[in-house]
Amino acid sequence: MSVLTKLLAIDRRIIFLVIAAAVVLSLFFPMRLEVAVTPPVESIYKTIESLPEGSVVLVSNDYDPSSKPELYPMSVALFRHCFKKNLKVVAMTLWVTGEGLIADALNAALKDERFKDKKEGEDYVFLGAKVGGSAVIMGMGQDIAGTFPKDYKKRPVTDLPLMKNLKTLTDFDYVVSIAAGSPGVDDWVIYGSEYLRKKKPKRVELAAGCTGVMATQYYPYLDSGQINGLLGGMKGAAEYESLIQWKDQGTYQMDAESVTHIIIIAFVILGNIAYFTIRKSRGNVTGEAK
Amino acid sequence: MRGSTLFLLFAIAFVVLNAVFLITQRLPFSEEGVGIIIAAGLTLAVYSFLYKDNPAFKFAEHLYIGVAIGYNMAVDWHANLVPNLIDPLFSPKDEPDYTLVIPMALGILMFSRFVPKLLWLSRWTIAAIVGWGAGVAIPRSITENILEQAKSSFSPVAGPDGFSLANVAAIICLIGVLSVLFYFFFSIEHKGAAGRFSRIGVWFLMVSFGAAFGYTVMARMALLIGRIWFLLADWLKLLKV
Repeated sequence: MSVLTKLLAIDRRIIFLVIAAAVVLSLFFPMRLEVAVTPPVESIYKTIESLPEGSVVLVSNDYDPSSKPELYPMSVALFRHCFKKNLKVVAMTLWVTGEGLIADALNAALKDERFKDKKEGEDYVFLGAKVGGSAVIMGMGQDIAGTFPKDYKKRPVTDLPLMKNLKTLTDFDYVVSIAAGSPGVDDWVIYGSEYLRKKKPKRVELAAGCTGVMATQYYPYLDSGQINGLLGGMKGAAEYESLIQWKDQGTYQMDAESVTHIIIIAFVILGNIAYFTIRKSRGNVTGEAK
Repeated sequence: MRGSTLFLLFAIAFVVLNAVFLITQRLPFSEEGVGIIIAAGLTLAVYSFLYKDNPAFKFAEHLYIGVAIGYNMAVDWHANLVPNLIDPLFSPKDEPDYTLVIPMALGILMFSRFVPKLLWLSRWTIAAIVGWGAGVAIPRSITENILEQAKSSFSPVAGPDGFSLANVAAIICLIGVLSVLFYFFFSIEHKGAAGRFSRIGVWFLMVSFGAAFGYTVMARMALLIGRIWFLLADWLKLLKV
């Protein structure tokens, strides 16, 4: 059996081992590769930068622990940016199983010394989880307190100072949906845009953050202006961390991501070389002579 | 036999390692420490499937489903049913909101699926959900997914200042939309010029599949990296941020 034939018949567990070893080594010995910032990510950053102090940003974190590596760093980076800019944050989730994780993301962002003066209920609110997807979004478009009568800690929303002037979705200055599936970005575009467009003179802009698997399907929304920015997967999180100059998990894990991509590309090239070489020499890949 | 010996050795090594971690206080003997050990064990159990199917993987798989459903139900009760239905109806601040009786009754009807003779009653609830869903979703989906997208596709390829290199993307997009649409137009045989144009559509589709697959690889690798990060940083404490 030639080397090329052996390569084609390689045990897939060897590939798994190589990938795992590459990830471990790149985490132990990071190369700190530069993360190039793309326009869709920069657009979200610029929008938040342009908001005046005291503006309110709604972050709908629609994911659960199964997407944590990609989306959690996005949420933390976004919260940090808002707090750095002295913006108010209203966080929520449409995924019941994500409630604890989102509370953790908010706490992770608030852990910094610079944000020790931020008061819950005044500077930020976590509304908790609500099932219903589209119905929740439309409900918020008409009456936020009616949709979320109590926050995560079971306090009546109407008693929270930050929520006093937030009656409907049009009262927010920016809405970001960070989502791992449905309900998520699609629901915010389809059911939320109607309310976000009602704000005059200019609509409330909507932005999206999503897992890598979903990123390609949101580019049409970006192109048409239905969303004004897009964070795609761990790369999007790393780009945002780079923009706010606050490197964290997204950036540190990108080294491993880049290395594994190079290995996968190498395997694809090697596999194809082996396949076509064998096919050319033997007539077909199974080894039967012409 | 070799597989079960290997599994047993791994299980013993895992128990001994964690016992050492707890005794040496590398991991706190608290809710957090025990939680990390459980999460590490389940992560390893799930990834053990990459070697081959085994009881540890099966256990983790079934546990995940049970925990997810239980957690969903508990949070749903406290975050949705109590504040949106139970409180306003049975312990309201002012007057009870009796309109909530209708959705409550429809919800209860869903449980009729457990009684074969009364199963038909659940169809009323399903009909209400489908009717509401279709009525709400269809106009909005048409607006956002068809009209807004069409509006964007119909915009001029050249900007107000004339044609520039930036407009090349718009032209590529236009060719892509037309050729892919044509590829799915089956009333003309795809031969000659029509065949060549639909072939361009195929190329556009291939590029989009490639992009989607590339992103998928990135996403899957990110999940793997996230778990390895957890094992090395949170469990083994070998990585420091």
